[in-house]
Amino acid sequence: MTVNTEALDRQVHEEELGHDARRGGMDPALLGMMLFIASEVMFFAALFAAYFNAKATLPVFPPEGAEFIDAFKFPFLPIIMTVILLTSSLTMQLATMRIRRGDRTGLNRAVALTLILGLAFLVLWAWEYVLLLTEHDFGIDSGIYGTLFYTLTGFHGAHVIGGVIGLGVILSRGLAGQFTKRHHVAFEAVHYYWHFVDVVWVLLFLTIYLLK
Amino acid sequence: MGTAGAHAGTYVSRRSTLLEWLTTTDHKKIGVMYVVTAFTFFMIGGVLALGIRTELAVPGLQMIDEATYNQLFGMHAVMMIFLFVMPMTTGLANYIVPLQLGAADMSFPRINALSFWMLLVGAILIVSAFAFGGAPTGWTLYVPLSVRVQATGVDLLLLGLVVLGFSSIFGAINFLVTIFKMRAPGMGLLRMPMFTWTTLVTAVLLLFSLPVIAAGLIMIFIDRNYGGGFFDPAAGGSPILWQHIFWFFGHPEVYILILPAFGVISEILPVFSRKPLFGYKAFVIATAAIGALGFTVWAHHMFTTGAVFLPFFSFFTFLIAVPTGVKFFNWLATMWGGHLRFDTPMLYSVGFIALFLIGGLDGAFLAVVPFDFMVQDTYWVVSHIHYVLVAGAVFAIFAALFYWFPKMAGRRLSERLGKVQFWILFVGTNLAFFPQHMLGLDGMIRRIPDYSGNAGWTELNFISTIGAFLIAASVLPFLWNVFVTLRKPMEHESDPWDGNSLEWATTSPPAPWNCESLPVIRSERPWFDQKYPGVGHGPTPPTRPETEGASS
Amino acid sequence: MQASGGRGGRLARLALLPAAGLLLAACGVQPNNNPTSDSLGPSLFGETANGIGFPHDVVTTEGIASAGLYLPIFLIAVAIFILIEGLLLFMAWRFRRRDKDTGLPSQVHGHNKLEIIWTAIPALVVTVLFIGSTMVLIDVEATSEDPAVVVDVEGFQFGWTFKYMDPAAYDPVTDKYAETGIVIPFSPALPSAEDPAPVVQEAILPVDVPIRFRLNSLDVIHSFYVPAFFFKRDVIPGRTNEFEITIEQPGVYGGQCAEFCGLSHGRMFFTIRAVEQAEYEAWVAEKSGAAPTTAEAETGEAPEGDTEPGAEDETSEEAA
Repeated sequence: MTVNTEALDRQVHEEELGHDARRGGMDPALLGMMLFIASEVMFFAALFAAYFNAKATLPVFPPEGAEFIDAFKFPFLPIIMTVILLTSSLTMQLATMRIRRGDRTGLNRAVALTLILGLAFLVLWAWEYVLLLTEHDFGIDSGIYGTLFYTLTGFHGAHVIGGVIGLGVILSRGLAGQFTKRHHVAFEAVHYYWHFVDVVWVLLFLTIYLLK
Repeated sequence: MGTAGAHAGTYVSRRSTLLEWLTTTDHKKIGVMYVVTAFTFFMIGGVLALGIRTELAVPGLQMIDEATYNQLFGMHAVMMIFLFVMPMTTGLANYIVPLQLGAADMSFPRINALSFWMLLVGAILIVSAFAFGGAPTGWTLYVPLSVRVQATGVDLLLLGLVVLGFSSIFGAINFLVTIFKMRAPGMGLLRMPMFTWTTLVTAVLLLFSLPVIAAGLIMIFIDRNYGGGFFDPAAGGSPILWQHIFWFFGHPEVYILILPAFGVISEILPVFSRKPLFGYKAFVIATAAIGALGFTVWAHHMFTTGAVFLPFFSFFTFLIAVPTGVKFFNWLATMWGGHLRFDTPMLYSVGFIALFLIGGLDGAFLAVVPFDFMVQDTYWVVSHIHYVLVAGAVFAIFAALFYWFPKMAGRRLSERLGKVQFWILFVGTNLAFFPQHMLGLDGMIRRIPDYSGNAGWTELNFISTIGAFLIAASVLPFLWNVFVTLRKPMEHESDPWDGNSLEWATTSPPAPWNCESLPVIRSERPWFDQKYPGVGHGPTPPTRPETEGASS
Repeated sequence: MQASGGRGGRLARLALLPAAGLLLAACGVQPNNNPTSDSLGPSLFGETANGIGFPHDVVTTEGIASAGLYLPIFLIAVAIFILIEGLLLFMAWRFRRRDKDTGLPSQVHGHNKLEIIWTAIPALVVTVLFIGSTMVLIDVEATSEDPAVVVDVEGFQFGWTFKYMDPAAYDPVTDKYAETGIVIPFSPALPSAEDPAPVVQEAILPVDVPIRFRLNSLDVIHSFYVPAFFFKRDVIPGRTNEFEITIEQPGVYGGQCAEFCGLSHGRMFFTIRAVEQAEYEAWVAEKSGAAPTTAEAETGEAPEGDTEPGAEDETSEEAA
């Protein structure tokens, strides 16, 4: 602690001022989105905890009367859905690379592709529900397994819907030419969110469809 | 206080004033709306408490039947926790934190307004539960009871709580981004006032605990309405799971309620002692430690379930006493050798220390598992929670209201009425809650509408009821105080208490843009440094070298 | 242990007086000696209840050990209470701002050694408390190999069923003991116009032998609570909670549901009467009719509960 002279003091102060004035680091809106995603992680953690609690405490899981949903049976919906979502993450990443290079058309094309993949996922999601409900008579009230399955996949699906809406907003703003190489915070936020939704799906797929 | 704005500005007509308040995104106006809403629910929740205490005053069912009683205690808790203490501390933080940071507003002013209006929606849902069979489940909503109760009121309560949860999550994100991104030049994290620090830790706790309870509430909703089996043992579900989810949120929630109170006390004691906060960094560490430990102790609410590993949760519960003790000793050391001025905010702060101590000590008993087996779900626990939340949160809230009212309304509340109120509340709190220790130790369980006349509990219950009415009575001088003060002309005293932090460096009430210029920020007391150059951490070096090591 | 619960308790009651002040003076010491004839059902206390504000009339070995923890913790709490409240009062008197206090007091920002001291000392105290209480906890939670009496308690809205089981006939596959046929039901003792003083049943249990309770719920969560046992354990659907106690004194002990369970939660009582061994055996013989089962005969021969493991195996096989 020898910074005692006025001059040094002013210098220190200006450094501090400069540090804050540069506002380095993440954009506030992006930080907000990251924090929101952190809270979403806790939301899904609670749902997953319910799943693993049932799996750990019940003598047989899925309990008797419920049939393990096999991803490797025709029509392989969960696997197709996984491929679609993983691809959509790639196209989203492609969009990021494009706009960071200032390529607006590339951004719009990649976002549109992601949007289509997201919609395709939603269609398959609905199709799987219809199949399970009609052909397997497996609903949310079919014991703990049904409750967990529909709650986990249902909340994930709801988040995909949210992501698709976000993509729609981004696409319309992109088509209006609102994003530039330097200013595309809204796009970045949706981009993070979409990856998060994708990661949740991968965990869901591993937990529900693979881990017996 | 809702009319404060009408006195503050030169508005043309009443209608435009109303519209201004309904559409505002100003953190100060939103803060005031939070505070007014919260205080309204404090009074409603208090009336419910009077219903409970009146029924329990003497043995027998005199006033209300079991069904009504079972709604009262649950709704009392829900209102006091979710609609009073949380919105109140959120409102105070909304008003004060941007001022203390030297920021013009919150990071996301419109989301801030959204949070407030979501609070109102959630509050309306919860209150409307009364009209649809009520929610006779207690605030803990233990399953399978809360799944089996046939009343739409429970669904409304669940929905209302989910809405409140998301309101608070958005609020927490807003506070975190504001604190990380909107600090004035020079305002390093370790120069933030303690109230802002506690708001930061509280926001982190909210962010990580509320989504968990939201998921749990939705699970109950699914079990109730869509035939789900989360908590139904017959379907393979687990009733214990809900308790884990609930208390994983519920324990951090206790710190969400009390940490801002710690922050308020840590603001007021230095100002009225004319000394800096003793051990600022220790305070920051202790606050963070309490927040972190808050996530490790949830199952101490479940000692009697026979389903948790007792020593682990017992140990961490004991451990929380350590950072809390650090805070106590630092508060005392802050006062030591100071020039103490006992204005109402200081009176409430000292009252807080004196009485919160009891809530801390009887809480330590509860960490002793074999003792918890005896007093879990008895009036000992009721006493503990009320010493923590009435002698703790409520005292700190009144301290904060008296302390910051001049900033919000441009004039001080009456000291005389404030002191009268303090002593009524002080006596009432002890009368209401101290006897409950003995009732609990004697085996009087909570949430019962009646007890045996032969149990020897009548006198203690009667004293407790008298105390409850005294607490209620103490609100009247406060309301009168606010009413008469707001009718007086504004004094526009910018710094009535000789304060330390940046909110006192601007006008009272502050302009919509908060401040024209800021002092140089070199310590956690920038405004003090400016007023007393050469004493604290102002531009001139400190004269006593021994103070440097601990404070720089 | 009993001494600390009795004489120590009385001593400490004196110590509480200054802390509780006018409250205790107002309520005084309440004699509580009317256990059963109250209109609400049983009182929760034995006939010798003698005070309020301290653990008293605890009658089980485990409960006495638990209640013994109260006094040391109470004394630590009182010491901290006096220290902090004393400091507050002293400072309010000594450091009150006076007219001469126009300048600023010494601006002390902190003291690292002090911080370490007042972190370390509480940490030490709570560690000692933790170790002490956990040692007692281990004793309280311990279960014997072969309890003398096994009672299955079923909680339901809003009553209890005590089923006496055969301690020698345990089936590890179903995790159940065989029933003896002795069942004591408790339902809400509602005082009504027709029946102003409903007859209160009593579950009879012997003193001085380990008694195992196995708790189950038929609907929602309840909690089995007997203040005189200084103990409660939740009664949870889909889960069997077990604990063991040894009652040391004969007497009538009231119990009540302690976990909020719905409309008539406040009236979910039960009563336990602890009697001497011989009286208990006579009651069992009377209840189970002329032909007691072999297991009960064995229990009768070995009241201390040391049934031969071989015999237990045989009965289990029979049951299987």
